[in-house]
Amino acid sequence: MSGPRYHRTRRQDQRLVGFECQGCGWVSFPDERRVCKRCGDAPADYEEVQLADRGEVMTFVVQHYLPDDIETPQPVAIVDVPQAGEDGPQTGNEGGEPARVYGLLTETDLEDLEVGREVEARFREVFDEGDRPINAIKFSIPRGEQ
Amino acid sequence: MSDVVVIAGHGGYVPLYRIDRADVAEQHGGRGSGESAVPGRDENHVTMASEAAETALARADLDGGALGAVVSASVTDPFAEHGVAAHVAYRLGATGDVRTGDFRATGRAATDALAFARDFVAARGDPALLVAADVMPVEQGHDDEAYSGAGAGALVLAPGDAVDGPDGTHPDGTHPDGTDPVGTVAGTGAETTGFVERHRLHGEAATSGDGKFEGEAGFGPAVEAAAGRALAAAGIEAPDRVVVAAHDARMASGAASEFPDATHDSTFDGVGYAGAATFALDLAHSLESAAAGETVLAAAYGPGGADAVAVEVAAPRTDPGPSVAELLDSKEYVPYATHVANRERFDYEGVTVA
Repeated sequence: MSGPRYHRTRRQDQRLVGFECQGCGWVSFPDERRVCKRCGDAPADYEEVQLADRGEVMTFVVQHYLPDDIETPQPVAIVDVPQAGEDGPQTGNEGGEPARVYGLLTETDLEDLEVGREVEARFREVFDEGDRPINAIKFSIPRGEQ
Repeated sequence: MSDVVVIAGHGGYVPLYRIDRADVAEQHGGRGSGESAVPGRDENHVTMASEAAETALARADLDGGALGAVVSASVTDPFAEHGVAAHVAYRLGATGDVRTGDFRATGRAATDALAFARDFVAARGDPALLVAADVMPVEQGHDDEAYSGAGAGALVLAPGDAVDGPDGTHPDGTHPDGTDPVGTVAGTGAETTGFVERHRLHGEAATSGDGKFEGEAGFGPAVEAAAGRALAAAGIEAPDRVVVAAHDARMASGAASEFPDATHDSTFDGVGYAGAATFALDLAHSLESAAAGETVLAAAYGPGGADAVAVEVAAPRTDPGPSVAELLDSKEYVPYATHVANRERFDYEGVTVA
């Protein structure tokens, strides 16, 4: 692992920035692709969009067998995250398509986790690179709603 | 440009997990009441500070890009070189020509950072963000173990004119939505003594020394002098609410009792001592609890002396949330082993930490 890897995607990892294809509206996350995965435009014309801080669980799995240093059970989910609205803390393209985000869940009781559940983005440490913590977005069921 | 500085937003963060102090006492003997906050395994100083900062910025109705400075305070940041402020700034979108600074090494770090932020706002006219975050280390069986907390607090300072009072108007509408700011920084005071009794090595529990001596010769006179200067500068005779951040809860309560008619706002019973973060967290809690027109005196003591700030509250906010009170109520208890393990660095995926 090296610094450049995390530097390249830090806007996506730390600020939930996505990339909307101006040809078809598909939102790429976290990759800034040259080709649109849906309409095939090449090179595609992408615009950066701010994603909201809450999304909806589309599907999930729970990992029980992981290296000792990772807490288990560890749920991971596919979350559809809408683009941020005009009234949000950061302006975005409200009404655009959501981004499909793969994310770890934290501080979430498995009994409360289900498809369709609203989750919120949480800025957390995902792993270490040596001594250095790598922080990025995870998700959790909103605190106080569990 | 006015040299009046207002608090435009404030926010606190308390981790979800708690250790019941009775569970700590059960391990080593003695008795315990209350609880202390335990960080999640995936939380660190930057993530906790970011949580508090997001709340403060949202209440100030500001984007991170509007900030001219981001300063942090911590007594437990494990890095000699790395810092907290610049990482929080990036997370919030405050990049480019943004002044950053990390204040450390004393419980006064948060008030040092606040004083810097206030001067920066007065001089430059740009908003500044203060964050404070700490995870206090524990040594099993140490006297401080049960009271070692974790948490974060944040304040957004912005330029503004004097607030006329709860019924007055605010001519410049320093809050972007046109309402009054949370409050005005009406006065500050410091008492630098150079006196040190409590001290602590990185990652270790503190050496308190003679607590009674420190209270009589260090804490007491330092806080009294700093608080007196802040109140005099603000023209406040007696505050309505008091915050005292100190490693010793009895010392803090004693200082607060000097103002018998004031409400003592403290998260100690639910969080424990969270280092420099205690000042910012407790001040955020106090501002959320205050009524318009009230005054808050907030002091912090640490090795080297004490500082105090007097705030005239204009428009306290609890939205957007979460409030500190809500965070205190939202909790899960963890066993003793988790309380110890979560405060230490760990390895992921077999990667050796040198």
